[in-house]
Amino acid sequence: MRVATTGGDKNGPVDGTTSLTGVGPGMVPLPLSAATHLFVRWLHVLAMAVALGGAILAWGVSRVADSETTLAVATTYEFAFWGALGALVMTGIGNLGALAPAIPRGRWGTALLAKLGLLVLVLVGSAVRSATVRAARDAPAPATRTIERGYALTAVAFATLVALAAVMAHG
Amino acid sequence: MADGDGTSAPAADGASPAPDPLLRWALASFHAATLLVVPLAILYAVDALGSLLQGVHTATGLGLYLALWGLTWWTNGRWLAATRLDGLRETIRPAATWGAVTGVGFLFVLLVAVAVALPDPVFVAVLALVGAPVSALVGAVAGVGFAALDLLIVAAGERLAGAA
Repeated sequence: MRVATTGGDKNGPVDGTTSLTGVGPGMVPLPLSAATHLFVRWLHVLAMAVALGGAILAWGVSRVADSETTLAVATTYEFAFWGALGALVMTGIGNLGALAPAIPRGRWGTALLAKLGLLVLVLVGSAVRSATVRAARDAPAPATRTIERGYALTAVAFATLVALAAVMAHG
Repeated sequence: MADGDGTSAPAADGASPAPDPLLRWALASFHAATLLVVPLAILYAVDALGSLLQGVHTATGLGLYLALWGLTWWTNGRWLAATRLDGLRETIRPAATWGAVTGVGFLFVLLVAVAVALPDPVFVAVLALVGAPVSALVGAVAGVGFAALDLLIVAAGERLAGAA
């Protein structure tokens, strides 16, 4: 990450107070663009943690809990999941933009296309999973086993996406 | 969709029932993400992504996506309030209408971004005149396509849940 001074000297603002970029005395201030990139990457990782961790949690609950608890956890997760997925897509493009205009190709590009292809499958599959949870709330005997499998699949898909992201980040 | 009963219909007195919040949120997020991911993959495959992303500032990109997401959430709510999701014929007209609204609404957001970056009123006006019918048409077609897909998704969900 590029780190440069944006004002004052290398010890920060001359009055010793914290600047808008959170720089205190003795710290090297981050330019706003670097702070933005850091925030975008932090949000991307956080969203992935919510999506993957939530899927594992919902899967675990659906294995042991009664249908009422399973559906309550599932409904909560579905709201969180789609928020996290939107944030993942939004910040994923932000991460790509940081590489523009020379976005790599070759092995890196193959991993990116595989990731995007899997993401499209996750999008459609998750829409079906959300529709299943919604319908299950009104079903006389909700098929919680189907929901359990849905969360297991979601967790596996997201673990694969993380693996592809690791390939892209570290080769 | 009505609140969780899965059988919502447009109210007899003309008032729109509240759509199911989970369905609305899931479908809006699904549409917004798909509208971005699929073109992204195509642009990368034809090697046109780098030059496009280079011209968009990070904050602008985040703002545009949030605007698309919010707009899709709103229009999905209106669309779901106007349909019972029990057939393509009954669903297609509101889908086309609210898809067109989404297209024109997003064009308006783009025009605001362009106007801020390039303060040239004539250029923005020409862009609005040319872009409005195009964005309405593209939005209507996308709306119908998503409606057809959503019908399949909802039907699959009901079957999987044992509610069909």
